[in-house]
Amino acid sequence: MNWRDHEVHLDVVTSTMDSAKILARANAPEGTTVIAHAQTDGHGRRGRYWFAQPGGSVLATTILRPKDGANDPLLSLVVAVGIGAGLQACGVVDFVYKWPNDILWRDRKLAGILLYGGDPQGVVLAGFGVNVMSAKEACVPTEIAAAYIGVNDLLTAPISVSDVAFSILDALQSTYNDYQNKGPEKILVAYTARDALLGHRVNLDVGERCIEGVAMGVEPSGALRVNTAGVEMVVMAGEVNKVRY
Amino acid sequence: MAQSIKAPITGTIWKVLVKSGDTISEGETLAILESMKMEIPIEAEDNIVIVEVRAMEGALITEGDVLFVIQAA
Repeated sequence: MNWRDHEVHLDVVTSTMDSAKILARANAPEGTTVIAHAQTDGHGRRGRYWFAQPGGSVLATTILRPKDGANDPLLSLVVAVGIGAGLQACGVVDFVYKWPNDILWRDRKLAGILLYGGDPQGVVLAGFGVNVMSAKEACVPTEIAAAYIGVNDLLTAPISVSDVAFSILDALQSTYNDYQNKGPEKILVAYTARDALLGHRVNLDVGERCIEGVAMGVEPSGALRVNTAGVEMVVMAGEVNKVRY
Repeated sequence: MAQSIKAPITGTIWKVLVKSGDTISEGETLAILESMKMEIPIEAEDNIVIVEVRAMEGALITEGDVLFVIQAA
């Protein structure tokens, strides 16, 4: 089954996550992807605001039904690597992954990913926003201008939002199927090759504690390894940022 | 008879949406956990009463930790 045969294009939605949730409950097949022109309540992790000029970015959620159930945290990395492969196919070259799954270009956000898991029916909703319009075209608000980058800021010839979406969906399907059939090895190799934190000093805001250490890469589970004063920690959740001097 | 709801994953607790004494309907969300940017809602599987809330917002949890003590409504 080709996921591109199961795209659902909508104009304005609250969030593609909301629309995909309804489709998942109606037993939409794996790979069904809601793609919207604009969102009125799109958000990132922990409900954080996500800027998206209508028609200026890929706003999408793909329904996954992973064979190991809906609590597999490595899926965060799988989706990041899939989207990264799609961006590469569009000609974007020097992007990196910031654990667990932001896609950055020189510390500016190119794409954000959020997953909803835990569903008793085994559904995972993989939501993603990929900036396509250049910062100038998208009229990015001043307060986030320094954090924004669009695909068209990085290419010599502009590409359309729909072409980026097609490219990402093809690559995401291929990456996800490879993970489901062959395991995490290729995912971890691809992730590590573009790991923004590897070898850098990082601040970890984990639960109620804030810790500083050196990022040592990711575990086969996808967890982040951090060396803090000679002791290695394995981190599954929390906020991680490079230390800036 | 009291029962418990346990964490299905290792991660952190982002939101706790109920308190002791609340009566909750099947399907309502009790808490939202987070692990590697996957948000995982904990939903009531039956109509229940919350006897004790052990989940604390911001806390680190390990798979199997008790989040709520509950009894049938």
